[in-house]
Amino acid sequence: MEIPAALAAAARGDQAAWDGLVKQFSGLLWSIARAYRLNDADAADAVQCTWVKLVEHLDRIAEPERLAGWLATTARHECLQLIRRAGRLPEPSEEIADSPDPAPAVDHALIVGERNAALWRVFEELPDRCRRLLRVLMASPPPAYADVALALDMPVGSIGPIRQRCLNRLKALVTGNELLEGRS
Amino acid sequence: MNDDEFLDVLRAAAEEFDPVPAGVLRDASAALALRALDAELAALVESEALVRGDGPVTLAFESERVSVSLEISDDVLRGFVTGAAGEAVVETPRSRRAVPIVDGWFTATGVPSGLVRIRLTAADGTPVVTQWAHGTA
Repeated sequence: MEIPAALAAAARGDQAAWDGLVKQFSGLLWSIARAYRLNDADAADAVQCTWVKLVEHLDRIAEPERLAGWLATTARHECLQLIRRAGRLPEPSEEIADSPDPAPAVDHALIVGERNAALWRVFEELPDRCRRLLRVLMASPPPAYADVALALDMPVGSIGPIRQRCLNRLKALVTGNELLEGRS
Repeated sequence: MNDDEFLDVLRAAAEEFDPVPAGVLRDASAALALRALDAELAALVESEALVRGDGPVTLAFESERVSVSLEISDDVLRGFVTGAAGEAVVETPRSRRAVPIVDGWFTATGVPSGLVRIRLTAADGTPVVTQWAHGTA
Protein backbone atom coordinates (compact mmCIF):
# COMPACT_ATOMS: atom_id res chain seq x y z
CA MET A 1 0.00 0.00 0.00
CA GLU A 2 1.30 3.49 -0.86
CA ILE A 3 2.09 5.61 2.18
CA PRO A 4 -0.69 8.23 1.73
CA ALA A 5 -3.26 5.45 1.31
CA ALA A 6 -1.86 3.58 4.30
CA LEU A 7 -2.01 6.73 6.44
CA ALA A 8 -5.61 7.39 5.39
CA ALA A 9 -6.57 3.79 6.14
CA ALA A 10 -4.83 3.90 9.53
CA ALA A 11 -6.68 7.13 10.34
CA ARG A 12 -9.90 5.15 9.78
CA GLY A 13 -8.66 2.53 12.23
CA ASP A 14 -7.24 -0.02 9.77
CA GLN A 15 -4.81 -1.96 11.98
CA ALA A 16 -3.22 -3.84 9.05
CA ALA A 17 -2.43 -0.56 7.27
CA TRP A 18 -0.94 0.82 10.50
CA ASP A 19 1.13 -2.31 11.05
CA GLY A 20 2.47 -1.91 7.52
CA LEU A 21 3.74 1.57 8.41
CA VAL A 22 5.21 0.27 11.66
CA LYS A 23 7.01 -2.48 9.76
CA GLN A 24 8.34 -0.07 7.15
CA PHE A 25 9.64 2.66 9.46
CA SER A 26 10.51 1.07 12.81
CA GLY A 27 14.02 0.25 11.58
CA LEU A 28 14.63 3.91 10.74
CA LEU A 29 13.28 5.15 14.09
CA TRP A 30 15.29 2.61 16.08
CA SER A 31 18.44 3.50 14.15
CA ILE A 32 17.90 7.21 14.86
CA ALA A 33 17.52 6.55 18.59
CA ARG A 34 20.69 4.45 18.57
CA ALA A 35 22.51 7.07 16.52
CA TYR A 36 21.90 9.43 19.46
CA ARG A 37 23.34 6.74 21.75
CA LEU A 38 20.14 6.21 23.71
CA ASN A 39 20.13 3.08 25.88
CA ASP A 40 17.53 0.33 25.39
CA ALA A 41 14.86 1.91 27.58
CA ASP A 42 15.30 5.45 26.28
CA ALA A 43 15.45 4.31 22.66
CA ALA A 44 12.23 2.35 23.14
CA ASP A 45 10.66 5.43 24.72
CA ALA A 46 11.74 7.73 21.89
CA VAL A 47 10.38 5.36 19.25
CA GLN A 48 7.09 4.84 21.12
CA CYS A 49 6.63 8.60 21.60
CA THR A 50 7.16 9.10 17.87
CA TRP A 51 4.45 6.56 16.99
CA VAL A 52 2.05 7.97 19.60
CA LYS A 53 2.49 11.44 18.10
CA LEU A 54 1.84 10.06 14.63
CA VAL A 55 -1.40 8.52 15.91
CA GLU A 56 -2.33 11.93 17.31
CA HIS A 57 -1.60 13.56 13.94
CA LEU A 58 -2.92 10.81 11.65
CA ASP A 59 -5.46 13.02 9.93
CA ARG A 60 -3.24 16.11 10.03
CA ILE A 61 -0.07 15.05 8.20
CA ALA A 62 0.29 17.82 5.63
CA GLU A 63 2.42 15.85 3.17
CA PRO A 64 1.64 12.14 3.57
CA GLU A 65 4.13 11.19 0.87
CA ARG A 66 6.86 12.65 3.09
CA LEU A 67 5.91 10.61 6.15
CA ALA A 68 9.46 9.27 6.54
CA GLY A 69 10.75 12.84 6.92
CA TRP A 70 8.03 13.69 9.45
CA LEU A 71 8.90 10.58 11.47
CA ALA A 72 12.64 11.29 11.28
CA THR A 73 12.15 14.87 12.46
CA THR A 74 9.82 13.82 15.28
CA ALA A 75 12.21 11.07 16.38
CA ARG A 76 15.11 13.56 16.49
CA HIS A 77 13.07 15.87 18.73
CA GLU A 78 12.11 12.98 21.02
CA CYS A 79 15.74 11.85 21.29
CA LEU A 80 17.06 15.32 22.04
CA GLN A 81 14.32 15.88 24.62
CA LEU A 82 15.25 12.66 26.41
CA ILE A 83 18.92 13.64 26.34
CA ARG A 84 18.14 17.12 27.73
CA ARG A 85 15.87 15.79 30.46
CA ALA A 86 18.49 13.30 31.51
CA GLY A 87 20.93 16.16 31.88
CA ARG A 88 23.42 14.75 29.45
CA LEU A 89 25.28 17.26 27.40
CA PRO A 90 25.33 16.61 23.69
CA GLU A 91 28.54 15.11 22.47
CA PRO A 92 30.89 17.72 21.06
CA SER A 93 31.07 17.44 17.30
CA GLU A 94 34.47 16.42 16.04
CA GLU A 95 36.20 17.21 12.84
CA ILE A 96 36.51 14.19 10.65
CA ALA A 97 40.04 13.91 9.37
CA ASP A 98 40.71 12.13 6.13
CA SER A 99 43.70 10.40 7.64
CA PRO A 100 42.59 7.83 10.16
CA ASP A 101 43.87 7.25 13.64
CA PRO A 102 46.13 4.24 14.07
CA ALA A 103 44.13 1.06 14.05
CA PRO A 104 43.33 -0.16 17.55
CA ALA A 105 44.55 -3.44 18.96
CA VAL A 106 42.63 -6.29 17.48
CA ASP A 107 41.63 -9.53 19.10
CA HIS A 108 43.32 -12.08 16.88
CA ALA A 109 41.72 -14.97 18.69
CA LEU A 110 38.36 -14.31 17.08
CA ILE A 111 37.12 -17.08 14.91
CA VAL A 112 35.93 -16.41 11.38
CA GLY A 113 32.30 -16.89 12.36
CA GLU A 114 32.57 -13.82 14.59
CA ARG A 115 33.53 -11.45 11.80
CA ASN A 116 30.32 -9.48 12.06
CA ALA A 117 30.79 -9.15 15.81
CA ALA A 118 34.30 -7.83 15.23
CA LEU A 119 33.04 -5.44 12.59
CA TRP A 120 30.37 -4.21 15.00
CA ARG A 121 32.96 -3.57 17.71
CA VAL A 122 35.17 -1.66 15.29
CA PHE A 123 32.14 0.38 14.20
CA GLU A 124 31.39 1.32 17.80
CA GLU A 125 34.92 2.76 18.09
CA LEU A 126 34.29 5.33 15.38
CA PRO A 127 34.24 9.01 16.34
CA ASP A 128 30.75 10.05 17.33
CA ARG A 129 29.87 12.05 14.24
CA CYS A 130 30.78 9.16 11.96
CA ARG A 131 29.10 6.57 14.14
CA ARG A 132 25.94 8.68 14.27
CA LEU A 133 25.62 9.13 10.50
CA LEU A 134 26.49 5.54 9.65
CA ARG A 135 24.08 4.18 12.28
CA VAL A 136 21.17 5.96 10.57
CA LEU A 137 22.36 4.94 7.10
CA MET A 138 22.41 1.33 8.35
CA ALA A 139 18.66 1.42 8.97
CA SER A 140 16.70 -1.30 7.27
CA PRO A 141 15.24 -0.65 4.74
CA PRO A 142 17.88 1.92 3.66
CA PRO A 143 16.63 5.47 4.28
CA ALA A 144 16.65 8.30 1.74
CA TYR A 145 19.34 10.94 2.28
CA ALA A 146 16.62 13.58 2.72
CA ASP A 147 15.23 11.66 5.70
CA VAL A 148 18.69 11.04 7.16
CA ALA A 149 19.29 14.81 6.92
CA LEU A 150 16.13 15.47 8.93
CA ALA A 151 17.00 12.80 11.49
CA LEU A 152 20.39 14.35 12.20
CA ASP A 153 19.72 18.00 11.32
CA MET A 154 22.43 17.96 8.66
CA PRO A 155 22.45 19.53 5.20
CA VAL A 156 21.39 16.83 2.77
CA GLY A 157 24.33 17.70 0.49
CA SER A 158 26.84 16.92 3.22
CA ILE A 159 25.70 13.34 3.73
CA GLY A 160 27.37 11.79 0.67
CA PRO A 161 30.83 13.28 1.33
CA ILE A 162 30.73 12.58 5.09
CA ARG A 163 29.47 9.07 4.42
CA GLN A 164 32.46 8.47 2.16
CA ARG A 165 34.98 9.82 4.69
CA CYS A 166 33.42 7.82 7.52
CA LEU A 167 33.34 4.58 5.54
CA ASN A 168 36.99 5.15 4.63
CA ARG A 169 37.77 5.69 8.26
CA LEU A 170 35.99 2.49 9.19
CA LYS A 171 37.81 0.61 6.43
CA ALA A 172 41.09 1.89 7.83
CA LEU A 173 40.15 0.50 11.25
CA VAL A 174 39.29 -2.78 9.59
CA THR A 175 42.62 -2.86 7.75
CA GLY A 176 45.12 -4.53 9.99
CA ASN A 177 42.39 -6.59 11.55
CA GLU A 178 43.23 -9.92 9.98
CA LEU A 179 39.74 -11.17 10.72
CA LEU A 180 38.13 -8.40 8.74
CA GLU A 181 40.73 -7.42 6.23
CA GLY A 182 39.51 -9.79 3.56
CA ARG A 183 36.18 -8.04 3.28
CA SER A 184 37.18 -4.39 3.16
CA MET B 1 34.04 -3.89 -2.03
CA ASN B 2 32.50 -0.51 -2.89
CA ASP B 3 30.87 1.80 -0.36
CA ASP B 4 27.33 0.60 -1.04
CA GLU B 5 28.35 -3.02 -0.59
CA PHE B 6 30.26 -2.16 2.60
CA LEU B 7 27.20 -0.36 3.95
CA ASP B 8 25.09 -3.44 3.17
CA VAL B 9 27.51 -5.53 5.26
CA LEU B 10 27.16 -2.99 8.08
CA ARG B 11 23.37 -3.09 7.75
CA ALA B 12 23.45 -6.86 8.15
CA ALA B 13 25.64 -6.46 11.25
CA ALA B 14 23.20 -3.90 12.70
CA GLU B 15 20.30 -6.27 12.13
CA GLU B 16 22.23 -8.99 13.91
CA PHE B 17 23.59 -6.99 16.86
CA ASP B 18 21.11 -4.16 17.34
CA PRO B 19 17.76 -5.22 15.89
CA VAL B 20 14.50 -3.43 16.69
CA PRO B 21 13.30 -5.18 19.87
CA ALA B 22 10.06 -7.14 19.51
CA GLY B 23 8.50 -5.15 22.36
CA VAL B 24 9.14 -1.89 20.51
CA LEU B 25 7.27 -3.27 17.48
CA ARG B 26 4.40 -4.50 19.69
CA ASP B 27 4.05 -1.11 21.39
CA ALA B 28 4.11 0.64 18.02
CA SER B 29 1.38 -1.62 16.70
CA ALA B 30 -0.73 -1.05 19.82
CA ALA B 31 -0.36 2.74 19.56
CA LEU B 32 -3.14 2.93 16.96
CA ALA B 33 -5.63 2.15 19.73
CA LEU B 34 -4.71 5.50 21.35
CA ARG B 35 -6.65 7.43 18.70
CA ALA B 36 -9.07 9.83 20.36
CA LEU B 37 -11.67 10.19 17.63
CA ASP B 38 -14.57 11.00 19.88
CA ALA B 39 -12.99 13.85 21.76
CA GLU B 40 -12.41 17.55 21.32
CA LEU B 41 -8.67 18.21 21.36
CA ALA B 42 -7.22 20.59 23.93
CA ALA B 43 -4.03 21.93 22.38
CA LEU B 44 -0.84 22.62 24.28
CA VAL B 45 -0.57 26.40 24.55
CA GLU B 46 2.23 26.72 27.05
CA SER B 47 5.04 24.49 28.19
CA GLU B 48 7.72 25.25 30.66
CA ALA B 49 10.39 22.97 31.96
CA LEU B 50 13.79 23.43 33.39
CA VAL B 51 16.30 22.71 30.70
CA ARG B 52 18.04 20.05 32.66
CA GLY B 53 17.53 17.98 35.72
CA ASP B 54 15.02 18.46 38.49
CA GLY B 55 12.03 20.69 38.94
CA PRO B 56 8.41 20.57 37.91
CA VAL B 57 7.14 20.73 34.35
CA THR B 58 4.18 23.04 33.83
CA LEU B 59 1.84 22.69 30.88
CA ALA B 60 -1.29 24.52 29.77
CA PHE B 61 -3.91 23.20 27.32
CA GLU B 62 -6.96 24.84 25.84
CA SER B 63 -9.91 23.71 23.78
CA GLU B 64 -13.12 25.50 22.92
CA ARG B 65 -14.80 24.28 26.10
CA VAL B 66 -12.04 23.49 28.56
CA SER B 67 -8.72 24.77 29.81
CA VAL B 68 -6.31 22.63 31.80
CA SER B 69 -3.06 23.44 33.52
CA LEU B 70 -0.75 20.72 34.77
CA GLU B 71 2.24 20.62 37.04
CA ILE B 72 4.23 17.42 36.94
CA SER B 73 6.97 16.79 39.46
CA ASP B 74 8.55 13.35 39.59
CA ASP B 75 5.59 10.99 39.52
CA VAL B 76 3.02 13.46 40.92
CA LEU B 77 0.66 15.26 38.57
CA ARG B 78 -1.48 18.14 39.82
CA GLY B 79 -4.01 19.74 37.52
CA PHE B 80 -6.45 22.62 37.51
CA VAL B 81 -9.33 22.60 35.07
CA THR B 82 -12.04 25.05 34.10
CA GLY B 83 -15.08 24.05 32.05
CA ALA B 84 -15.10 20.42 33.19
CA ALA B 85 -16.03 18.56 36.36
CA GLY B 86 -16.41 15.01 37.62
CA GLU B 87 -13.33 12.94 36.82
CA ALA B 88 -10.04 13.53 35.08
CA VAL B 89 -8.55 10.48 33.39
CA VAL B 90 -4.75 10.54 33.42
CA GLU B 91 -3.51 8.52 30.44
CA THR B 92 -0.09 7.30 29.44
CA PRO B 93 0.53 5.05 26.42
CA ARG B 94 0.32 2.07 28.76
CA SER B 95 -2.07 3.12 31.51
CA ARG B 96 -5.12 5.15 32.38
CA ARG B 97 -6.46 6.19 35.77
CA ALA B 98 -9.45 8.29 36.77
CA VAL B 99 -9.12 10.77 39.63
CA PRO B 100 -11.83 13.05 41.05
CA ILE B 101 -11.91 16.76 40.28
CA VAL B 102 -12.52 18.75 43.46
CA ASP B 103 -13.18 22.47 43.08
CA GLY B 104 -11.30 22.34 39.78
CA TRP B 105 -8.27 20.55 41.17
CA PHE B 106 -7.13 16.98 40.65
CA THR B 107 -4.04 15.03 41.70
CA ALA B 108 -2.61 11.74 40.49
CA THR B 109 0.37 9.99 42.01
CA GLY B 110 2.55 7.21 40.64
CA VAL B 111 2.37 8.62 37.11
CA PRO B 112 4.89 6.81 34.91
CA SER B 113 7.53 8.89 33.13
CA GLY B 114 7.12 9.75 29.47
CA LEU B 115 4.03 10.91 27.61
CA VAL B 116 0.84 11.84 29.42
CA ARG B 117 -2.54 13.27 28.45
CA ILE B 118 -5.77 14.06 30.30
CA ARG B 119 -9.33 13.10 29.32
CA LEU B 120 -12.12 15.25 30.67
CA THR B 121 -15.84 15.72 30.21
CA ALA B 122 -16.88 19.29 29.46
CA ALA B 123 -19.84 20.80 31.30
CA ASP B 124 -22.09 20.11 28.28
CA GLY B 125 -21.02 16.45 28.15
CA THR B 126 -18.50 16.77 25.29
CA PRO B 127 -15.46 14.52 25.77
CA VAL B 128 -12.20 16.47 25.69
CA VAL B 129 -8.66 15.13 25.54
CA THR B 130 -5.43 17.08 25.79
CA GLN B 131 -2.54 16.63 23.39
CA TRP B 132 0.16 14.25 24.50
CA ALA B 133 2.88 15.99 26.43
CA HIS B 134 6.06 14.97 28.17
CA GLY B 135 5.82 14.90 31.90
CA THR B 136 9.07 13.78 33.39
CA ALA B 137 11.31 11.75 31.18
